[in-house]
Amino acid sequence: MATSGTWLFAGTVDDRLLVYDISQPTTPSQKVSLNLPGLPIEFAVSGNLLLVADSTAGLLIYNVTTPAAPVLLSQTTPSTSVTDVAVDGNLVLLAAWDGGLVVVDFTNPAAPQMVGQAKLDTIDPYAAYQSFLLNKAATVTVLNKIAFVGVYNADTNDPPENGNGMIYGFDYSEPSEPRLVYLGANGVIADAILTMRSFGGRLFAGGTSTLIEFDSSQPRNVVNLFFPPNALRPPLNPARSPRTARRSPAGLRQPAIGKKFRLPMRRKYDAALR
Amino acid sequence: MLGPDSRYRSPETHLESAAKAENPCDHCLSHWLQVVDISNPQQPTLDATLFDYVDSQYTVALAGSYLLSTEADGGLAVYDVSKKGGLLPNYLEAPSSGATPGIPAFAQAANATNLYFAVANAVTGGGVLAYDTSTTPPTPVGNFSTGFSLCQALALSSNYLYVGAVDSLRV
Repeated sequence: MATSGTWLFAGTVDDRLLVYDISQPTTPSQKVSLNLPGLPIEFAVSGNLLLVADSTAGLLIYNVTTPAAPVLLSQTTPSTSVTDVAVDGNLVLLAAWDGGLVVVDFTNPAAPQMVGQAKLDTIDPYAAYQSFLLNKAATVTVLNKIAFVGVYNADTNDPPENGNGMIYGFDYSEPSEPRLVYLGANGVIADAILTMRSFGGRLFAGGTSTLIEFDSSQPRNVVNLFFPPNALRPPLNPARSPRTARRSPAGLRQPAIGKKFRLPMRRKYDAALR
Repeated sequence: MLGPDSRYRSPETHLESAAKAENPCDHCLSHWLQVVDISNPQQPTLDATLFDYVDSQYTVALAGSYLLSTEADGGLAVYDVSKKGGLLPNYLEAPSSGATPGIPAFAQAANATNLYFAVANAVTGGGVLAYDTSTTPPTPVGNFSTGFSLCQALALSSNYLYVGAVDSLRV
């Protein structure tokens, strides 16, 4: 949902955009019900524009100068689902599921341009282990020119692996080349980070297991300067690796509560998971 | 000793350690290091996180401003620890464990004084948690339940909070 003045924009699980007049705040009056091509997951308002993360349908931009009569200006489909949007000036940053972070310039909202992308799998040196990408870009927020991307870890193994609720931080000062400057929070939130937002220079995250404020005064972390070339790495054999062996003790099993999260989580991301 | 950050400069007056992370989730694997400033042994502070997506670190050694780590599948890793960095977590709610249900949160909204989380748990139901943001981390100040109408979206307008539940819009 998002508000603009005395108007409220809301998405529904049956793929509609509802517009409410909230000039009488306690008695919202529905003025519009508009069918959308995908499942609307998140909204952002920028001036007289409404930006919709419309899952498989990508990014929709509406002119809401007259909120009771939204006008679709453009649809941008980065070939993957879009699950969240964050606006910084003339840039909109998308959490684009398998597509990672996508940067779109909407200086001309009728013809937005995808100007940059950072796919999360290209950063994982162990991506070769998996037949599919585990970390999906689920949510995004911006703070001081860094886009923080929270991931939904789609690992179906028990226990989860490969990062859990990871956070990637990309410096998008050069929008065409988002640069990784932070990678972390691994395990702080198990399974998935479903919402990241910055308010007043502070950074908050919520996911499947807990709510967290992150101290963002030092957003860039120190990272590995050296990763040995393939020839110097141990064989990639997950079945025999010490990593796998350590997963086997019962103490490492995912607690049952983790499974209970899956129903509402999948409802929200249903379209993305289809 | 280690670089421009004075906390690491003198081994005589400041001690530093790079400790294998104690993961707050007992079911999660550790893939990172944490640097802890123990110059005040009675009040150690987490100073940095180091992460390269590789694997748990077994042994580490300091060499100047570099930390060398053996990382199982990852082989040898070299980190620059001359500058602190990384998002450091402050929990608003304790993470879940096998015995304690966690709080799955789907949306947030905030004004100048309060932060709200929409939560939805298929077992315990949904609702909104409210926090006072004058503290770090924010402290709980209230909540209300929407029962099994799970909350998945929030929006604020003046003094009104709009709650998007699965079956209704609530003010």
